[in-house]
Amino acid sequence: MAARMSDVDPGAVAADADVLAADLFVDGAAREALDVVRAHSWVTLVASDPLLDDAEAVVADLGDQAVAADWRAKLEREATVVTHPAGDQPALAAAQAADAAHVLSYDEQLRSARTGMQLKERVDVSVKSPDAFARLFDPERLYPTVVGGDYPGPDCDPRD
Amino acid sequence: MTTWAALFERGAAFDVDTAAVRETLAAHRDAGDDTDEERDGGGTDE
Repeated sequence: MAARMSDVDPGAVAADADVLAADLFVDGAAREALDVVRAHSWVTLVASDPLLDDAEAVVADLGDQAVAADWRAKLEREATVVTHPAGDQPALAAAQAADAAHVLSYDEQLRSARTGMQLKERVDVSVKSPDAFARLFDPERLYPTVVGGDYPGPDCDPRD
Repeated sequence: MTTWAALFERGAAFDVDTAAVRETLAAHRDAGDDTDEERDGGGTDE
């Protein structure tokens, strides 16, 4: 597939399975990052079945099947679920399929400069740790570009 | 549909930290890679 560098969506975010699962279990950086997404209706979380499969397996392993099933149902309802070729790194592939500008991951290899250079050849995506995303993602600055007009502030309850 | 607040309350009860999440995902994906290699005929025997 040819790289599409011009139509990347700065309001679309893919979170790798470690970030998704950490959001559920830990009141920390992953939750802080995804709270920014949940608090804005125009910021989209993108996912895929392979990505949700990985995260659900982690949640079931560290928690239990019941919470994993309820958690997945909630995410499937709220995320934009895309498809991508099997075998690709799920978060990167989901971001590419959705033209998302951001990938959140705790994986240092995924965030390395070398990986970043390789990614730039395929897709215009920025891979950040959750704490970096929470620090750098600026909804007020992006709103005029993504939606238009003056930023009205968060429009959703991230705990709902 | 359950709320995030309710899910987070249930998640907190398992007393899991981020390191455990990362290790569990890595093990899960390593196991998946091994399964893929075996299915493709590239076993891990040395």
